[in-house]
Amino acid sequence: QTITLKVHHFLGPQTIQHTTMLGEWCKNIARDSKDRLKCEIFPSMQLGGTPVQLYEQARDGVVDVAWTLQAYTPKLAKLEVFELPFMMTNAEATSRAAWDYAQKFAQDDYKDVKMLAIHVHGPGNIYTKTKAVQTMADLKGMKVRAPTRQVNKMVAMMGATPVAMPVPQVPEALSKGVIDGAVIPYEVAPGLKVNELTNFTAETDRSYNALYTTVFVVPMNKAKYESLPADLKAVIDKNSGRELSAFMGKTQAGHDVPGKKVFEASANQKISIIPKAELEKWKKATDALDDAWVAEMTGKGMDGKGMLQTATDLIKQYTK
Amino acid sequence: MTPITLALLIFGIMLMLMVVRVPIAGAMFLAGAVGFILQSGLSPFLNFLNNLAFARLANYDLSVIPLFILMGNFATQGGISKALFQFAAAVMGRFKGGLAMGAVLACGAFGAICGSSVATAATITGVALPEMKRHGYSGRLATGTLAAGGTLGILIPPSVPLVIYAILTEQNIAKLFAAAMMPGIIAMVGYMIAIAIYVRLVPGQAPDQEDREKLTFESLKGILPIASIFVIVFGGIYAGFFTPTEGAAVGAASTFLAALLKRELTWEKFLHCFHATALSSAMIFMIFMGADVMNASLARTQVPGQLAELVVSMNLAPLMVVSGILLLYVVLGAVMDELSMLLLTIPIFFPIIMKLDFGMTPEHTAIWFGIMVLMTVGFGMLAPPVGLNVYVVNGMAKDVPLSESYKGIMPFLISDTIRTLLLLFFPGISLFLIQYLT
Amino acid sequence: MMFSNPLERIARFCSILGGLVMTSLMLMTCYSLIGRNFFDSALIGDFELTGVGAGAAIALFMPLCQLKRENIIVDFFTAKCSEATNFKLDRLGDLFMTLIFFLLAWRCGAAAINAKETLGASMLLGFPDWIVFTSMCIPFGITALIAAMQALSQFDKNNKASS
Ligand code: NA
Ligand code: NA
Repeated sequence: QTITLKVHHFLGPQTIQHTTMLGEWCKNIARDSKDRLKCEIFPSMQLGGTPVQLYEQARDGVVDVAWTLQAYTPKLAKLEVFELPFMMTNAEATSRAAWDYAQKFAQDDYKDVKMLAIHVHGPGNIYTKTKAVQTMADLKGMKVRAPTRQVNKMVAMMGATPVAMPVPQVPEALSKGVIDGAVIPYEVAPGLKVNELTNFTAETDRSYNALYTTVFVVPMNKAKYESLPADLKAVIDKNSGRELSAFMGKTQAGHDVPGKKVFEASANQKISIIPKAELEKWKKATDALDDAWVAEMTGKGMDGKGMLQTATDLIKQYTK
Repeated sequence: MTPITLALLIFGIMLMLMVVRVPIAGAMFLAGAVGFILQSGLSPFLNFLNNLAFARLANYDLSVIPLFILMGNFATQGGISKALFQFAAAVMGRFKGGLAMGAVLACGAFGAICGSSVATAATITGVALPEMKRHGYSGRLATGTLAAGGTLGILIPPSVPLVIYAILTEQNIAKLFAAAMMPGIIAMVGYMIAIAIYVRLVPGQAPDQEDREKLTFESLKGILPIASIFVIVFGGIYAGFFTPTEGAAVGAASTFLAALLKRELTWEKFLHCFHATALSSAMIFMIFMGADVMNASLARTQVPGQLAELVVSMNLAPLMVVSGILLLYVVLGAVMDELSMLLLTIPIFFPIIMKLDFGMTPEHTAIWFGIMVLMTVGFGMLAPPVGLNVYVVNGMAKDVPLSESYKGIMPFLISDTIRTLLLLFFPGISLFLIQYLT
Repeated sequence: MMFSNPLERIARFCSILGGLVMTSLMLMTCYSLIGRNFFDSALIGDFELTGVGAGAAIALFMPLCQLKRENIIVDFFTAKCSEATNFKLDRLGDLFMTLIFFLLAWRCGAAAINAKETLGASMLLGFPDWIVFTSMCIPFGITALIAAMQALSQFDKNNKASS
């Protein structure tokens, strides 16, 4: 008989995450299992709860598969290394690296689920309303909405006032001037109407490492996985791991392209590229965050330095 | 069991429990629990409960509700609201039912800073209900007016359901708000007309002679605190000092301050504010939690989605499709929580609507459909048997039976229907303001 | 009823505690706003604190709400029934509410233990989740106790007087 997996995530049904990243995965497991394994994908937290709870929903069997941020699950904190400023090269390589890194250091942290993928999104940009950001000094005194713990610290070190607020409040906060800017990748920006609500986009030189990225995880309920017959388990095994991580990272970053097109087509938008030389200064100003992260891990009795080094090496290894 | 049978079973259990006086929140909770367990088993349900309270109660977006309720209680206990109603009576007093109209006006004014209909209903009820009682209004008209007036919280922007619609359909929030402006004003005027007609047709609902208070310097001075709070909150939000949610905290703090300055807020009254806030907030959030269990269970059956596909499969003319969808929303909205209803169905209906030709640009079609959906959401907040606003207002009016409140809602439902039809056939009423937005 | 007085006192105390939490959240938000708008220093994660604070406060509001029977019921189907019938039905309702609050308290307790083990915490501040779960578990437990007392009550003088 057919086994149907309930897949749950917090984004809308038109997003690339729903249609392609999870949608393709579902098509693939249906194809490989000859339709004995299928999905129902529930977008927008339709099955209840908040995004923060997605990992636990999968772990506890409230749903079978979830797509969520690592940051929502403090137990996965070791993965935060990939969210440090200027860590990522490109999303595909960094996603592969994140998977390998997790195999080495974090397997124990998520042993309560069957992890299907660990990936990152494309490079983040800075969008501002009243003033273009060309040098670090331009950020001084600006109120900027930052998405993660590390990016909050980063913008503060660069002289801006970080304002933390939930994503859905960003459009209104921008339009009313509660914040002067926001830091996110191209892919999600049009959905939040950032192209209409800001006037300047500061993209970083793509030959230099990205300003920041965010780590996502795709956990599956362990008992559900264990309950599958051997051949269906093999289907899941085939459709998970490093290559699925790479596919998800690549797809999400690939969606930066149509996102950027929207910005280029917006008459009000001026896109500028921060040159390498300037980014060097930004990196120097925020290097202390790497040390702080290493110290945090070391404080917990881990080899923080080695973990950072491994992450850096893995990214390098996968970046062509 | 087929999904439809299961969904009917869930509704059946809920209705049965409601009939035998189980609190509504409990009836939804238990019916949803049975449905959940039948579909997924006991252990996933227990695990689902782990995070239920955390998700609903420890929620930044919803914290605006207890804050606005606290603000309302500070205003009531601080004697500030009394002044507002003396002013409203003075303005509207020449009309029969003038104080009820004043309450609608107050709801509209409050709705311009608050995006939640429940918060609007609870706040203005705390302020207006004692005054309306004192002036000799019937429980039926008073609760009906306040429940209907509460929907102005979402009909007049900012509006939480519109934000959700905008996010689901990737539409411009500012343009949706602009499009909701005229319909919101029409709603407010429509409610006042409904009151005027109702008090003439049905005797004994409102005092024959309103206590006419003259517009004096004193009464103007009396509304100074609430007017300045309004300016601070409204001005602060529009000038970009804070978000609407933060505005609630500022509103509560400044009301607290104003009450202290008036020297009306004794320690005893201060504690009373807490007790009153506790009762209203706990009651509202219990309903939220019950609705959550119910909706999680219904979502699993996938029936709302299937119903949506059924409407689509009938291959009707564009205007008939929209009418069918709206009708379905009225039915669904009568029995379930409106926000969850949007989450479950908009993803299915929206792409369909966008494929039909209404003689408008795609953007206008999207915005117009959003406004139409908003109208039915407002309707659903009032319509029996599950009308959240009616519950909230009735819960605060201890001596009024729920049946009386539902009778009191009828004139407003008629007004809602007329407005919805108006907007269905004349989209321009709501769309013309958009052109002023770049 | 023997326990009604201590329970009522606890319920009132809880609601005051919840009210004080709400008041602090209100003041904290104002502080953060002033900092952000005039001194370029926002309170990072103030909305996280507001969220968890509201969670504790609303849970603390539950006991009084149950004690005062503030949860809304549909009365028009049974409006014509005798007072004795309605009384019995209301005891049944109390029993159901006992069950619900017991479930909520139990599951929040389980979630608190789990959060402690898994180090669950808010994203920016790292505010521990187990504190939030515990702050909801205890009031839910008290509410279950109140509902159970109401379900067992033989005569309703107290409740009528207070509602
Ligand atoms: Na509003
Ligand atoms: Na409803």
